Amino acid sequence: MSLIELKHVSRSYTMGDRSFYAIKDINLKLEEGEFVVILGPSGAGKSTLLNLLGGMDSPTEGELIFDGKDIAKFNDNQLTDYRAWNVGVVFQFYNLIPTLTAYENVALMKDVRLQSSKKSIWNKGNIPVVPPEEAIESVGLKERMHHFPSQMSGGEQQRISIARAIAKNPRLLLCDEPTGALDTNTGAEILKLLQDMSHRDGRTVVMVTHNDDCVEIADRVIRVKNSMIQSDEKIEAPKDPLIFMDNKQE
Amino acid sequence: MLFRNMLRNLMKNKVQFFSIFIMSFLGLFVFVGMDSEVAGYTAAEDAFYSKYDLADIWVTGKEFTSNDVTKIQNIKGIENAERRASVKGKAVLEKGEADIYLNFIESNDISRIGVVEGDEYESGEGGVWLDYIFAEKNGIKVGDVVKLKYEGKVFTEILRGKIRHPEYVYYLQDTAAMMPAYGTYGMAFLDSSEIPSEKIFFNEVICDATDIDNVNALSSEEKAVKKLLEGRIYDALDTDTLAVLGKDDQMSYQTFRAEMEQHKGMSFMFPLVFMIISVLGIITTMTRMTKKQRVEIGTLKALGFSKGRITLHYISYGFFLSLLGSVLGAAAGYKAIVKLTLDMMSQTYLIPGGGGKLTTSGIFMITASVIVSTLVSFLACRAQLEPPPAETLKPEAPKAMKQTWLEKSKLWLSLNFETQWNLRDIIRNKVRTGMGVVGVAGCTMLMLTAFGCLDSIEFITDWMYGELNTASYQIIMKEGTPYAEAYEYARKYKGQMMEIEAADFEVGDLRKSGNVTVIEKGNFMHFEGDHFEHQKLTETGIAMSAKMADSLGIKMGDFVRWHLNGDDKWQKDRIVQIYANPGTQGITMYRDEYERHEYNFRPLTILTNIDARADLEDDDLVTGVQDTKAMMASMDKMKEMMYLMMAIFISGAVILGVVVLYNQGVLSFVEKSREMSTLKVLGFSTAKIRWILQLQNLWVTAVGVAAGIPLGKLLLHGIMSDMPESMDYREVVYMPSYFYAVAGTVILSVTVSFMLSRRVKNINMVEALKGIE
Repeated sequence: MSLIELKHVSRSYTMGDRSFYAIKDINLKLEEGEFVVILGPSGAGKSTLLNLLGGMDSPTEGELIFDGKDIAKFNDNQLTDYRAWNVGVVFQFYNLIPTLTAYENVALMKDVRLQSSKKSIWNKGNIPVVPPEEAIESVGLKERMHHFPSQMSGGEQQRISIARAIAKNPRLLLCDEPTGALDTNTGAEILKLLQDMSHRDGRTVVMVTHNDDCVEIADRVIRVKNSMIQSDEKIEAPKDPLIFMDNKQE
Repeated sequence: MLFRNMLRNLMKNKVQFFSIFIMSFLGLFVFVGMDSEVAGYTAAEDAFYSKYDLADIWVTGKEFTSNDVTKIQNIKGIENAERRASVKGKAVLEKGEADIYLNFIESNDISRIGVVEGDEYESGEGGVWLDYIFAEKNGIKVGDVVKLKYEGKVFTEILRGKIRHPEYVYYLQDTAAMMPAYGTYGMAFLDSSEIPSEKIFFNEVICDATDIDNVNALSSEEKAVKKLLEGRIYDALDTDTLAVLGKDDQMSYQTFRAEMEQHKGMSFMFPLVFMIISVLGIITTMTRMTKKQRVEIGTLKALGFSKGRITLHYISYGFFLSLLGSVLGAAAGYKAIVKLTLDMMSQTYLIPGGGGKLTTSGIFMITASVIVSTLVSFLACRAQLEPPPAETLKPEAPKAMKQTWLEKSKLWLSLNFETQWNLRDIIRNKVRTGMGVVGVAGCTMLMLTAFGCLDSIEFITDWMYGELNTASYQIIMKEGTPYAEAYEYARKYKGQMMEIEAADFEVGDLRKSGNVTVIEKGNFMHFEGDHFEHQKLTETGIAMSAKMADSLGIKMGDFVRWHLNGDDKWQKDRIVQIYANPGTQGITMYRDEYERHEYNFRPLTILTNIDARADLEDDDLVTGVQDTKAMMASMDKMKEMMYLMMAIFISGAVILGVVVLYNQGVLSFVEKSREMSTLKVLGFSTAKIRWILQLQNLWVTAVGVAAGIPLGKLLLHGIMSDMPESMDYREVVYMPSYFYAVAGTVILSVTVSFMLSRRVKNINMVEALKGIE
């Protein structure tokens, strides 16, 4: 069974007396443990799609089935609960809370879980939170744990942002241009981490980018253009980002 | 973790948050301080009056027989009654004579003597019980022999006890005095058998009424009971030659109550100003912070935090700051204000105890302050908390700018760059600007009130003793001095004769106590209208004091019924003139007019410029000679109290001004730092940018000062009109005070603005511009 399925999903916006589609009639199935890259130019609808998958926005039409439940019909509170239990997000500009240390930023996830643990429909008692130290260690920044974001480089901040995402132990990890603000080498390291999240840990990782190079490292590439899916292709042998980027530089 | 986030944000924006904290602090500091002081004193007053059973009704007349007392005792609704002779005498001290209110009593069951040191009074026992302050200030100890003088006869008594008395919580030397100076005069209680005259005239009966409460101010039911009993007393004694007074007519009781009401009024006024500033501070600070943290809010939402949890996080800023500020302010106010006022009050009011007492209104105010702050925080944050995370994750779209009518006008084009810049900034940041204006206005208001209080006291002293009564001395004749004798003294000392009688005034159901002043033609008494315009006292008809007319709700041309205490006639007259007098309220007329009402002119006061103190020291017909200078000196004591109030007001003004202006400045600086760095990049000099910032501050200051002046006068009016009914104090602000208040505010504002604008120098052009994504 797919982890998530989109059936005729559209999202339209109204501006003044004009309305337009950010995405239109999308049909898509994402499998458990897949590393999916969504590619497309600016304004194609990539971020909207990511927002819908992450329950940060709701479609205006269609069904969005996650683990058998149509989250398109969810209200605000239900969506919050969905995000709290199932979704990890990695942003282009890291979005760490500047007044909290790396450790505290990651440990926030405990608070997220605690706020709804009793009444959540997703609480099946089998999704433990990853301890913050462990999450930070897994991104290789144990020694920087007690630093503030302003004391870290962009790459380090993005690693912490990934640690924060995995601390929730989410089934779905969404990344919005995670390497957009980083140099090539650092970007490759981040991509490697994300690939591991999928291949090693079995999470579904969806990454939005307009960087064509990412095609080689994913299990599946979905191209979006003019609010619609233009192509959806499987990659037989995804490459290791570190080796691939290294070769490319040479 | 979000709590830690809050703490660090608080540290990061400490100036703004500190201003919210300090306003909550100051608001509750003043409120709880004054509220507990009033509550503490009210409790002390209640305890004092209950313990010593303050009388409910005072019947005064020429003479009451024991039969009269029995008749009063038998009246339904009267629980008990006793008579006494209350007269004015002298204490003969080594350094001279001092005025003493002598009370010769038969029993001590109503308005009982409160012994501070010495023996309890027993009916029929000899000795004197003396005002403890008078005894202490004059070095008289229990067991000492005290020389007293009444009607020219000197007699000696042993001091049996130093006392307080529920009817002498506040008392003045005489009707001409405006402030107490305890120790220079006093009161004493003796058994009626000790009176040195052959015949004793019991001129007062005090009564306990069954249905009148001892402690609280008269309720409307109690007023009705008093009126009913008054009728019954008149009927029982079958005479009109008496006056029946209640607690509300008692100077001691009434003055203390009015003081408490004044404190209560002030306890509300201050927190209101601070609360407004605090609310404005929360609005601006929280709006700015949540706007700045928009993406952070979006991130928290995207990470799975619920809206409720994030809302809770943001409202907890307002909640914790106001809670901390209010609780600490309340605690500090309870300690400091109670102590400060206790020192001040104990010199004016002879009531034991006092000290603070926390009330439910204190707790209510803390709660209200916290709820309001939390609610305002919520409202300020709501705009950023409502949209879904997909929207909040993106920076806010710039606000659609619309040209205002001003910007479309031709005038706009003729304005220079800094004016245009500042006008736009003000138009687009109304709340922030409003906060600045309110802060500056509050600062000017408090300063003007502080200086105005002092001006007013000085004015009243000059008005009373320099304009209305220009005599240097007042010769006070003995009670019962025949007219012919008084006339001789007036002739000898080139004086003006005056008679002052206690009286009741009635309009409809409303009755007030006051004085009837009758004067012979002369050069010492002068009159001024309600607006200080000089006027001649009417020769045909009666003139009424402005405050009395106001209390009775009448104006010139209306009728008033009046009646001298101890006389059986009621008069009805049209008011033909209104005059203002700070010390004595009632009516005034010339002797001829008085005699037309079929009264005999019995002057007991002679106003003169001749110093007859030495001449008249041993004169049997003269009770005393008062020196106007000494009376003016007693007003200095009031000034001392005013200095303390001024210090509180000015400190409040400075704190308010600095905190609000600094906060407003920091906010505007942070908001505009990008624009300012752009200007710097474009080549504007630091001095020019600083001038732009200072200019806006000057405008805000000008508007604030302009608003603060009338507000200050209003506050001053509130303070001055909150005096007992017998006093008509007018608010006066002299030119220098306007100058001090305005200059004080402007200096404060310019200093703060100067300090802030120094930051312009440190703007890092690269850093500031990099912030834009």
